[in-house]
Amino acid sequence: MRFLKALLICLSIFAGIFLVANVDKGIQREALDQVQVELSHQAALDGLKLDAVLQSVPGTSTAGPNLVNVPFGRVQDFITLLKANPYIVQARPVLVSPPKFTFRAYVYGLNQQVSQYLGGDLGTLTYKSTPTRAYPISELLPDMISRSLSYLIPGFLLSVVLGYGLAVLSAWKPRFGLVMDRGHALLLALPDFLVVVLFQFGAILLAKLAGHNVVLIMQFAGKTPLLIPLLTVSIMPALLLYGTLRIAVDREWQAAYIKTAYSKGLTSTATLLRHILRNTTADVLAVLPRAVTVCITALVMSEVMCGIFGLGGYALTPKMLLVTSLPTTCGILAAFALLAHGILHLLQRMLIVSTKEGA
Amino acid sequence: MKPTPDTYSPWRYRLAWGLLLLLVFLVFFGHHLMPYGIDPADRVNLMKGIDPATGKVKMLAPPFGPSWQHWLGTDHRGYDLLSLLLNGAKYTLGFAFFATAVRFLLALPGGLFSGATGRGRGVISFLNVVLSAVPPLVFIFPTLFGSAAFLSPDQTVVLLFAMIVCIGVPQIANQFANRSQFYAERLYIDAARTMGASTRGIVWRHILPHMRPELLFAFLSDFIGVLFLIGQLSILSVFLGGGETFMVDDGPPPVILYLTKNGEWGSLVAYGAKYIRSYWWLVAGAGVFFAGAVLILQFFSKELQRYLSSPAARHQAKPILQNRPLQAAVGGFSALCLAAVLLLPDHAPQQKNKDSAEAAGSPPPRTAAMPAFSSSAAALPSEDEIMRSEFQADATNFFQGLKTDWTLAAMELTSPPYNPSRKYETPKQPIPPFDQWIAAMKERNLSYSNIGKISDGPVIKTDWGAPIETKQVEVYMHGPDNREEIWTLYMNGKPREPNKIVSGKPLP
Repeated sequence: MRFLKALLICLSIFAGIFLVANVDKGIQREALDQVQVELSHQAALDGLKLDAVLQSVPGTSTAGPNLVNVPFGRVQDFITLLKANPYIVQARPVLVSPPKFTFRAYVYGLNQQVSQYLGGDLGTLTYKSTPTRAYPISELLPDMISRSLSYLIPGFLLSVVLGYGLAVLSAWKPRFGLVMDRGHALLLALPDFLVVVLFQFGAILLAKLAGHNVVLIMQFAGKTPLLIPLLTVSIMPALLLYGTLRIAVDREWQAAYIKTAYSKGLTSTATLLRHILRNTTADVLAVLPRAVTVCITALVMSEVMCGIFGLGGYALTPKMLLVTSLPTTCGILAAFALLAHGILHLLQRMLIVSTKEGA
Repeated sequence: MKPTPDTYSPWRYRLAWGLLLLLVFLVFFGHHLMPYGIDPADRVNLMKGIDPATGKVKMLAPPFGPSWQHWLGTDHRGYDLLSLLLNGAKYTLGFAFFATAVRFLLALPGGLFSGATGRGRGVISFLNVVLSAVPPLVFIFPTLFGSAAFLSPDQTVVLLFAMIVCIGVPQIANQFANRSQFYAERLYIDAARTMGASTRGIVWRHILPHMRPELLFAFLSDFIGVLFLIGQLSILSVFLGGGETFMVDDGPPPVILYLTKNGEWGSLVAYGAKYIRSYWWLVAGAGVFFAGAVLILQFFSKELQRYLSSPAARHQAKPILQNRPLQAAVGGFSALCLAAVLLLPDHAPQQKNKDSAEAAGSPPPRTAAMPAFSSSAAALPSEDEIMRSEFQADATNFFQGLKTDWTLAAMELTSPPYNPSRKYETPKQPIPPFDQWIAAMKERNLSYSNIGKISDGPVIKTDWGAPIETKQVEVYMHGPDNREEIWTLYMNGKPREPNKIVSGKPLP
């Protein structure tokens, strides 16, 4: 039952991304059942009207002056057919102005998209330098995924180590904890994109002081920045984990069993390490899924700001002309998040002792 | 060893209120505090400064760094950044506030009733899991990235607003359903139910009053969350405050930017982040305002939490009519607002536009918000359209040359790639069949009208030996008495190559 529920959640998320990311397919910029044609001068010289010319193209009918009705969704096929007619100079789609959303077009667009996915077309990228060529994203995905994962996974692990380590240290040394709590409150108020900006500022200042580049801030000539994305990805989840653990440790300090432990002569360090940290595992595992989500958001932010050609930042690089693969890459990012949630859920089941009361 | 507990401090609480009121003041009266206007007439186009390349004093073009005249510097258009930011506060914070308010208006009734009755609990919980398991960006970004090119700016803002609201509703509903469920299990609710209270009565009269403090706290937290989301989306080029395109020519290639006209903070952050290496102040000012607003809200939220968790402080608070310090603070704040409205000039661009439009008797220009993408699924011209326009341009020039001067026409003839050892020279005299065409044009008084049907043409071998795949292009020639003739040109079918004319079909 749990497995089915998890499966349903995953399917809903992917379906949701698919449905909302393709909303533009329902916005009709061009009519899906009409074609605008222009008759050649030869037709005028031969005394032919549009009706007569269309008799040789089955499936079409006249919709108005220079307008031809064609079967729904087959505009491009019929443009090719009409262009092959010697009396038709030009055939082009009919522009809908202003563009409007229609449910029929949306359903048609979704069907087209599904057909493309089934045919292995996951979307394309077109660069400004080669505007006539669209590169399939499927060829670039392995590189993009490995590039993004190269700091997503280390960043997440670093965040766990930082958050957990600092929270334990703060609990162990209260004075240090006070300073950390202030810093935590301040940093938590900063949006992640400003954190990237601050890191980039720092790197620029460092470069000015040193007289040469110390920390790379943008992807350039095959060199990908590592430190700034890594820190950006790790800092927000670390703060989240730190805050949760601090609250959990505070709660545990008030528990009766801690007083019992003290009264039995256990030192505070031993109490912290043997009892409190063990009992806060549930809190840590409860907040980690949220930390994964924050990590992925930070990944997108850092990739965009550092100009990294990864899963999150490729669409906004200045060299890009047209991107049709965003639903695919957003789906992959969602898959990462869901995979991490699944692993963390398994860990929860393995590590947390059930405390249900018996009959 | 045990950390010091966070306790309520009246001074901190008052400071938090003071800062919050400052933010509110900024939202409502920011345009009165602007040192400069943000209309085209207020642009600073040139300013004396030290040229970083030569170290000499000369007149420089914007953007200008922070100075006594412009505390936060200017943008590329020469607008004062502080003025833009002060004017933009109401757009950013106002949008976030309304989005949060609508989220709560939609989520609260559903959540409370679901928690109290248990109906729809599963659906709310499921939607909450679905929407919170992945970052909201994966839903919002591709949607707006794909749609923005086809929607009007106002429609895009509505879509952005709708998405931000929809993403947040299940989470808030779930949160309050949990709380409502908690209160609904209390004994006094059972008692009320036994006495015949309806579900609506229980929710509004018994559960909701208990939740007022946490409601306020949750609203603030969500408001901050929406601000964060707006900031993140602005980095992804989805923002509210676009309005005009501006070409920045800092070096090749020139870049076209979508810049805010009203100073919306998200758009300024997005714009400034692109120039962090060259003009740090562009992002610094916007970043400080953004972070400052978030910090004030966080601080207020924290202090409010402390105040609400301190029963002593709440009991000590006097009623408003007896609370002299509170009355003085409210009076002072009102007087400050009044003074700002009466004494300080209103630099808001809409006001100026309205005044000038009224004076000129014409409607004010539309300054709609506009999200923008540097690259998106925008409607691009098809390859056919590009080819036709290239053919049209070349044919027009070619026939102009045929009519006036062959050397001009010869410039449109396709030529070999540059080779220093074998320099190609364009034909000095008209080549066949164009000599025949020139004679026909003169003899029958024909002039070029337009190109017609384009179809695949023959592969033609050029003088330098390279075969060229051509397109056969009908050319309409217009004569006196509306006489039409159709001639045929063979043009280079490769897109985006100059000098398209390869040859022509001899006239019968």
